[in-house]
Amino acid sequence: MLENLRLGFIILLTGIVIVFSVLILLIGIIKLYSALVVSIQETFKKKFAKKKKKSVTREEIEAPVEAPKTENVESAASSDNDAIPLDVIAAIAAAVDYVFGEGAVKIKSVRKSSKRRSAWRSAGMAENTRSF
Amino acid sequence: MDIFYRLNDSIFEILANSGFSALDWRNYVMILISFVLIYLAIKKQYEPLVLLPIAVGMLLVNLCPAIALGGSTNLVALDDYIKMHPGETIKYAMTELNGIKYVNVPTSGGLLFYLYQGVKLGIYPPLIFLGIGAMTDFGPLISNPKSFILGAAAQIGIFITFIGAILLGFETNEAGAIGIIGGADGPTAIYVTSILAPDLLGPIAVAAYSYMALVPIIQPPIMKLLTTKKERQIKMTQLRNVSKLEKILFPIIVTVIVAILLPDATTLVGMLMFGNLMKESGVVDRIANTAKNELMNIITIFLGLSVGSTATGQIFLSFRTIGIICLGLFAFCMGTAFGVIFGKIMCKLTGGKVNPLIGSAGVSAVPMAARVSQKVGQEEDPSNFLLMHAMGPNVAGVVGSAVAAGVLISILA
Repeated sequence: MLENLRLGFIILLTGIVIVFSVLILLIGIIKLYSALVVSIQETFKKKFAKKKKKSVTREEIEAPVEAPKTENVESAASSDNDAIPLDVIAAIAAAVDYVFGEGAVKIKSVRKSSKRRSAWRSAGMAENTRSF
Repeated sequence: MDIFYRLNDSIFEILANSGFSALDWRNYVMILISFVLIYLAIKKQYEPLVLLPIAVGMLLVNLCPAIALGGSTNLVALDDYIKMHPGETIKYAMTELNGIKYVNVPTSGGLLFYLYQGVKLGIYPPLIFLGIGAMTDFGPLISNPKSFILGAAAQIGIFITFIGAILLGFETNEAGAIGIIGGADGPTAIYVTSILAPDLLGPIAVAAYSYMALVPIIQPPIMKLLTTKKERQIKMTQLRNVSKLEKILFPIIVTVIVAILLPDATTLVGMLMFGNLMKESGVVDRIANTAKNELMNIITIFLGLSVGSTATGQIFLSFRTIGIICLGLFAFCMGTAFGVIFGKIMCKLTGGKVNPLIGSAGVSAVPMAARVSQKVGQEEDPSNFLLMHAMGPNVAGVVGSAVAAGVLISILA
């Protein structure tokens, strides 16, 4: 009994020390790699932003474009197909702005696709967009 | 008259094989306990996914003990065997007793005996961890790694209970298995017990899962006792967003560190982190979904039934079991208390930025313990949302209990 108790106290101390040591080590490592990842990503972001700025400036010099305005799109869209609701056009304009950058492209027209997607393409699209 | 005798014999034979003659009073008590657990699972919805299979396993094994018995060997006299299988070569070993030759004909065991092999061989708990990993978002822990301290603090109960169990006369390996109940992690408790004290698997698993189910009842009084109203009202600042790259690196780094420092924890932590890597990488959605849904559900059924099948009246209804249940509760309360105490220390050190209530989530009952922190916090201030802050210590507790399990196995096994 006394021997077991002695072993018990040794395990109590060893256990607490090891559990805390391992988890504190993990805290340090997580902090370190988080800081590293964040700084790398910041650097990439800055570089990307600079590149984007340069390319936008070049495009502006070559052919200045207007930011997509709902009114512009509306008129363009309405001339092509009156059946597309305005809020759908606004959503498409916002998505285009988000993907290419604000004011980077101009939407001239919005048309409903004449071709219907095949069942296989629909399934592929559903699979790719499921997580969103 | 002959027909009457035969009918009489048949009825007696059926009665002799029935539960009426094979069961003793302890089996009937266990059947009643299983009814209570079924009631708690269905009516009160206390961890029904686990409690219901456990209760049904308990019911089945006490109604028909043979369902959990392994295969045996029947000795059939050689002459009888040849009569029953004319022209067949004898495939089994022979035994000679008193000059008569017998054929050792093997018989198969009951269903629950075979399902139990997954517990005995330590297969189910790591697979459950795989599913848990595929479901867990370690984002709150990565954005606030200090949560690991609370996850570690809640494991102190395991080691204190270990001493308590020794004082009550349990052997050291049994004491280790009892202490791990304080981690409030069913799969870890089963894994450690299957290695250290397989005989105690039934009571320990039932105690571990029962206390996990009773987290909303056991924890709040301890949390309220150890904190002031002002502390419970502390609002914590919003956690930073964690990038995908950080989330992908986390399981890899944790696996490498833990496996190098504590090889005995590799199985549990490795599976947990593999599940998480599948989730976070986003490239194996199909198997990640399988791990967290179908595989997890199948293993939960097998694990629950197997654990329930170990709770036979003869094993379960003893003073040792009552001791284990009491020590388990003590371990769980100590884990909660130490989590909250360390939460208070962190609160003081950060100048009141940490709400000590999140410390209780350091016991790893995910996500129940985090929900309890949220609920107790909102009782004081309905506009306080602690859930995501409590998820950090909660998932840290899973890692912490796996590490504690590794320590106990490496020293005691």
